[in-house]
Amino acid sequence: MALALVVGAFSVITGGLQSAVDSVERMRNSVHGQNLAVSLLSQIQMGLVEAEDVEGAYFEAPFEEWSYDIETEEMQAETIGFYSGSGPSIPEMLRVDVAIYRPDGRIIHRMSQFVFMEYSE
Amino acid sequence: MVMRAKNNLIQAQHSQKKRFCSLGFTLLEVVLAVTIAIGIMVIALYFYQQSSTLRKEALEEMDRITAVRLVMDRLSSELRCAVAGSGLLTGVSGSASSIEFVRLDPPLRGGLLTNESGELARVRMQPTFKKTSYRVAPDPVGGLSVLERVEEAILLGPKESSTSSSSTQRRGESNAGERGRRSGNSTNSVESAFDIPDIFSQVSEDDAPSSSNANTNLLFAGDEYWAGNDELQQSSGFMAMEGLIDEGLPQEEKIAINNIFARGIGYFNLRYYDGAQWVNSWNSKELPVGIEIRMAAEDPETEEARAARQAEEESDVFERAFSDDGIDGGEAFPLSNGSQQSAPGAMGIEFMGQVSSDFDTNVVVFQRIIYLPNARRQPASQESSSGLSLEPLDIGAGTVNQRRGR
Repeated sequence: MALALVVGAFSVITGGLQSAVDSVERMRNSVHGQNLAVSLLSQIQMGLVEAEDVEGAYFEAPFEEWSYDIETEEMQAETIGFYSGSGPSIPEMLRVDVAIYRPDGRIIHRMSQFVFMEYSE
Repeated sequence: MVMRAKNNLIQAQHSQKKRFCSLGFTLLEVVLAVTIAIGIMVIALYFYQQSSTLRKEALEEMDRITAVRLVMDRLSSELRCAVAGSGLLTGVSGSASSIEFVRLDPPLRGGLLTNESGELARVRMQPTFKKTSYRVAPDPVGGLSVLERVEEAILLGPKESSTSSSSTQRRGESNAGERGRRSGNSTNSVESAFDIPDIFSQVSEDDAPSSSNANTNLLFAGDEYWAGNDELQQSSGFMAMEGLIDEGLPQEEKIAINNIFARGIGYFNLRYYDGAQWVNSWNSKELPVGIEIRMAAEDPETEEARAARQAEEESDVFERAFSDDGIDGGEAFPLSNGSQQSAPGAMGIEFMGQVSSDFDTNVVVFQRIIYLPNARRQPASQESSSGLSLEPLDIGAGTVNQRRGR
């Protein structure tokens, strides 16, 4: 009886600790996911990653188990209130959605941003 | 009869003695019981110690992650407001472990501002420029390193050569009058957009200081956004900074916020993207297109990698110190001015794969790349050629060159 109580108490405490460790892991993954999403959007804006639809692409090491999707949608800046000028042409924009997946395939972070498209003479 | 009674008595005493003996423990039983109790106690104590250690580590890890998230978010938002510098002030000056930049805060709303006596301060709607720096420093109370953040407001106003009385008078003039005096100035559109009359005020065309004027303290002239170089000047006039307006504050008493921004960050590494490649240091008026931040609780670099990087940085400092161009980048886009080139073709997250072999894989490194929207990017058509053009992108006309974010 005493032994059963001891084992039960240990199990409860171990479960609590495991939950705490899991929450730390979730928090760490959340920060990684957020950083990866911001980095991916930044790289798109910097021109290092093409702004086109991508599904299930993997990051490079050390995040080689993490994957991402990119969804883009063209839209006129005027229609979303980003531009009210009367220039010769209305700048086009892309709405870029990125979704970051954990190594176990569960989505962990989704981020969206409007990005101006480059124009040249 | 007597004998039988005697025998019964003896038997009764014997059985009673036996019963007493059977109620106690043998030495073996006692030893065994004590051993089991001690064993359970040891296991319980070990379990308690382990769980308390684990709990402590989990809490520390959560603190570190929270600190990293805070620093990343704060640094990201501040870097996105970074502006290019002028001839006297470097826009972004950074090494692998520290960074200093000038950022622009939105215009203050005067209704919320009071002076020291509690009266509503005279409102000067202007954006606030702040010189901000981050660096890793030893923890003053021991333990791990800390991330230090220094923020200093940059004073803008009348130029030093003006007399104090006229300065004061000028400062007291109405914004409408100042606007009227500057009618026709190319900064009007900026003023109206930002409602920032005082930045461009009080300097008539006759007063425009030459570059040889010792009293001229140009702070910003980074680009056409901020009008002429001679109109943004350091001053002992007034300060507007997060709830404080104090006119007449001497220059030497300007307020700097210096605090420990985050504890437990032992590794803070930065790289700068110049539009073509990642470099380990930056010292130029122009902004880098992107900045990569890596942070960890411990330094994940191996001894060899750290020694190699330090040697590389030292040689870079030596080269810069004895180069003809000096530290300041001058006019060119900062590919070779004060920047240290990393491995060719290295790009952000992809580059982590190349350097990860130099890292202790047990250390969790947080990494983020931040795009600086105020940086000048050369058009993609010029990028592939020699094109280090400083021309801003023309987004007014033309056709879409390619699907690339800006």
